[in-house]
Amino acid sequence: MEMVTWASVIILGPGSIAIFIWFLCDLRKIFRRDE
Amino acid sequence: MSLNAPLAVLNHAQLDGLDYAVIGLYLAAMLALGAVLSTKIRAFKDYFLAGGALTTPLLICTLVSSYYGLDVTFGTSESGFYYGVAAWFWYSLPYYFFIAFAALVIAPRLKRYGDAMTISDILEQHYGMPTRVVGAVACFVYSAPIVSMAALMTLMEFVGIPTGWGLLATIGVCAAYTTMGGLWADAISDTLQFVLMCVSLAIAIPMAVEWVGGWGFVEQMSATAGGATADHFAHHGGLSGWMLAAWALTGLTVLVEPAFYQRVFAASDAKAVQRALLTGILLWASYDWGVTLIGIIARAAVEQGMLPADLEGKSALLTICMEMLPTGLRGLMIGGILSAAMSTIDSYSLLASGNVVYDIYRPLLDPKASDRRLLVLTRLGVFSVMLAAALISLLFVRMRDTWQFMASVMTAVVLVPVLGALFGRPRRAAGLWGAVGGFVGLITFYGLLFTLGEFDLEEETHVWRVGGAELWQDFSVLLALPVSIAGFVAGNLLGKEETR
Repeated sequence: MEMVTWASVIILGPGSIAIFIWFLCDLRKIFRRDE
Repeated sequence: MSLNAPLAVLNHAQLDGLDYAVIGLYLAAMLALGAVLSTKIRAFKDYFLAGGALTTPLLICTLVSSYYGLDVTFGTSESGFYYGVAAWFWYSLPYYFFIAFAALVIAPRLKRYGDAMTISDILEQHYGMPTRVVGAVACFVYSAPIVSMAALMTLMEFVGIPTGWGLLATIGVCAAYTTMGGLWADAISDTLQFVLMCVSLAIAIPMAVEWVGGWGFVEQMSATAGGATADHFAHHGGLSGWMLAAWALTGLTVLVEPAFYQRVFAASDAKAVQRALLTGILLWASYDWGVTLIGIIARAAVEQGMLPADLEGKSALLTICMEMLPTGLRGLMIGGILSAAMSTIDSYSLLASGNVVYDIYRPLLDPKASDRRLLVLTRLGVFSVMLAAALISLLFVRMRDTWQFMASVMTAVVLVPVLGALFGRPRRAAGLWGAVGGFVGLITFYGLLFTLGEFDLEEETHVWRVGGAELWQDFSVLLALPVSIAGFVAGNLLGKEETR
């Protein structure tokens, strides 16, 4: 149970931040497509 | 207890200046975002489907945060509080299987509907206009963010923010950026909301474990044989097989989830949706586990005398977070919970407005409506839906029952016709008969339950005891779906016109 909980914390913390950074990198592509 | 009756406001639940600054900064960022993104909107498709250009990371953020609102956050921790890990194994886990099925099997099939924007478009293509309208009404009932509004009021009352002003500010900000930027604003604001809700929970989980005195609570709760928490760490939680089946079947709503269909049609490509949903499962599973665990910890704290014995399950998450978090982090947590609410309210208000304008008004009243007219009406609709949902939420007494009714309408009416259309070639009558059959089955069940059944005070739900059997309010979908299937089969056998 402890392991599952720590895995959840890693996915929710660093994991969600990594996805957000991925989104920020992608955002430039989205806006460039419009120009 | 009334859903909107004020909860006891605890002294430690008061927010201070720094907490309000964090929340204010977040609301200001949302407004600025809407203003910037409004420049991208030129046509109805830009507004409703973000021009069909959503990429994988954007889809992950918007799907995860939109689908998980306060109903899930409070509801799952409430179930964890009362039933333990069964809430995760039997309520949450089945959802992931249905989501994987939607990603791997349904999403690729939706590619053949080139110009479709909503579920109703699919229904009309196969079964004609009447089924479209019935489906749109069911989608509207499901999408109107009534439960989220009610939960938002509970949140405001709990932290001591005046409900009227707090709700007005939240709806005002939410409506402003969604009205300006449509799905673009919705999806991009969802990314910030996604990070806030995930990170705040990631911080809260280890702090909650430490606050309750480490992992010893697992043994203490399990050790009380015959006690109320003895089954808290058994996957079944001591519940009957029928109840567990009813919980598991609520996951069927995923297969006709309007937000899922909208985002599939809004995706830049089909693979992007699949990647987003499969990654989302990891995030949803972690989020569910986190809120379930905090619910269990709240129960352990009650057993240990750290929290009041009369603590209600629905307040478990908020109480524990307010109790253990320092100032600043409390603001972050409330911001995270507010994010979960706003990301759901904006997405579903947009969907509900689209249901009325695009799915009902346009085909029935104004088939030649210009793109610009649809755009203006949908924008007006977003604000109206939010306002109406807030008012209607005052009429409902219990959050779980309201959500159950809305999800039951959607599943009973739309599931069978949509799956029939995606996986077969049914006759045109099958769709309408299946939809109407499901609705009649559901209303009959509720009618019999409320007239012949009684309210069980211990289980806090309506139960109809007939013969030796007990029919709970939770069984609504379980009993309405067979009627929908029967209607569908009868329509397919007796209907004359072939599907298009």
